[in-house]
Amino acid sequence: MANKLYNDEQYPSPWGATWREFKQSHIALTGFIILNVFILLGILGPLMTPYEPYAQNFQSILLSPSWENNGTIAHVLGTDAVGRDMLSRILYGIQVTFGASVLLVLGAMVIGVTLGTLAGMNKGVRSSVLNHILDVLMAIPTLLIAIIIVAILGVGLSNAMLAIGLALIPRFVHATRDVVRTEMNKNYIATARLDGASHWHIFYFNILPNLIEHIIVQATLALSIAILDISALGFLNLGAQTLLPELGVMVREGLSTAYIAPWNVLFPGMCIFLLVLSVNIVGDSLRSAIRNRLTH
Amino acid sequence: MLGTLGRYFNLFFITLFILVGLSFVLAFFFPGDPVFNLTGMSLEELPTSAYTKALADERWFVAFWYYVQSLLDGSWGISTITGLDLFAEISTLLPATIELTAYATIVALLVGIPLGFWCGLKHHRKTDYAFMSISMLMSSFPIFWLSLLLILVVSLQLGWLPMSGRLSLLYDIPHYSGFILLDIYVSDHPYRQEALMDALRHMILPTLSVAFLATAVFLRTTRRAVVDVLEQDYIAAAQTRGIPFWKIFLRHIMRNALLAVLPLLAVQVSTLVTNVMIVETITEWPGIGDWLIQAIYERDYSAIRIGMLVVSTVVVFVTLLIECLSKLFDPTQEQFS
Repeated sequence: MANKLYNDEQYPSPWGATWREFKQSHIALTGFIILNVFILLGILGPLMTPYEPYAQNFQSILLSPSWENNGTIAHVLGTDAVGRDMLSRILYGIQVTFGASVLLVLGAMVIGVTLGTLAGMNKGVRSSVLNHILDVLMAIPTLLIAIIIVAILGVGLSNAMLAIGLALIPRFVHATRDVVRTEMNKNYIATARLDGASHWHIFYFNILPNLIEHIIVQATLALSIAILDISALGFLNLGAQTLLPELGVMVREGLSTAYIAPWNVLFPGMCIFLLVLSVNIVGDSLRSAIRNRLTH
Repeated sequence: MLGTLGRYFNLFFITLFILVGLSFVLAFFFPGDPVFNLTGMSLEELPTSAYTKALADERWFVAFWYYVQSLLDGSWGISTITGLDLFAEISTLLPATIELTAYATIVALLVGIPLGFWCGLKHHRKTDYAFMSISMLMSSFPIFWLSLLLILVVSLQLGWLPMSGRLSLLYDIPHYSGFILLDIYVSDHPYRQEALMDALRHMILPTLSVAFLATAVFLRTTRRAVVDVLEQDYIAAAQTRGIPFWKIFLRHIMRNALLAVLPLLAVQVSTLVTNVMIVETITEWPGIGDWLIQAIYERDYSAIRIGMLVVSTVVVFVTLLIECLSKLFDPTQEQFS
């Protein structure tokens, strides 16, 4: 590669180079494709469901998946205890669980990066007080924060999102603060400062380009945590409520008929598992792609 | 060293103070009467004391002072639903949770760290890729689903292990420390041996569910640390001096990698406790997680207040302890910011 460097028509941008490293791995590409399928299903899912997710059909209660002897092709993944179509509910569930997770991660990211940048660029008391509070907040289990928020505000998907978002903010602050602090000590920042650049200018033109891929890696980590926690809270009846087709809620509802209809527990859980797995694979591969790009 | 100890001691007390303050303030945010949320009783039912008087007069700062005192005395109020003394209840619940967390952590450390070393030494080879892929799969399981699957397959389908609880009702073990294995060991029950086996059989499923996820994390963390150490110059220097590999491993790789693993474990404590709490509700393990979640279903705000305080204190204590230890072992680390 090195001898071709001078003959190359153009140098790849940092993102191009990262993508080049990323697609070397088949596992990474598979994970990326699966994640994109999930994103598509999340957006378009409601348009392609064969049934309404709330439509109960007492003619077809607890039907097996279609590949079993007493299943029908009309309900590909079977039905639950009140005859709701599993496939339709899962497609809606992806939208609810995945969509809520993406939204809350975005919110936590914006707040976390802002606070982290402030803590990294300002030295002294302000950042030290902030750090102490954040370290404490980070040590408290998410479930506990969720329990407190639910106790104050009551149950519901938006309250669960608030709780998990609060628990995720410190991660972004930590990551941002560390990067900003190391970058601030480098010479090119000093140069920019000598040129009379304002704080905002330094942040936007010098630090942000170096920060952004760390933040994206952090966001994929946070996303997998958010999906797991949202569904766990739904499962514990502390998040989304029974009517909403959220994947964790579906596992809890399937529990009452788990012995005669195990697919009601199996499929929603499998869906969460695949969702988290694809996010984890993409995040992990992205991290090693960036590491390889920097060491090459 | 004394400085480090002092700083962490200080940090722990400041944090504890903030948490106690938070638990006091939460009583005002929770629905209902703050006095009821703080003590589990209404003003009329409370015994007359300086604390009651401060609460009745709404002199909240004075009341906070007496609140801290009552916490130290062990009079934590009563549950608003069951009317049981919260201190007595938590002292039976907390050991159960600590027990489950400890066993799961031990299993995960014993499996995860050696495997992590193995993968780190073989990095970018087939074994490494295999274990990395497996740990990626393992860490993607939602804990509640995993626990349910284990119960469905191992307990219901195969009938190998009991599906819930901590000990069969047949064995009446007197409460001594709250740690079930210790309690059985010191009791003079005629069927002690059988009770011990039964307790162990109950323990397997919840421990494995929690350890399953923790193992994956420990494995990845250790492997990363080993790979980072292997790239250091002092390893190459030791190799050029012709030191045998096992010696390099013992002297340089193992020590430095373990040092890097320790602070990362501190980050995992809160995840671990969340997982333990979820598994407790599924397997009906009589710990503080199951109790807290029941408390929220029943809107028992007095119990939530104290449960939140106890769990977060324990978690913060353990996290700071691990961080402090890693700082003592390796003073070259970046100063605590």
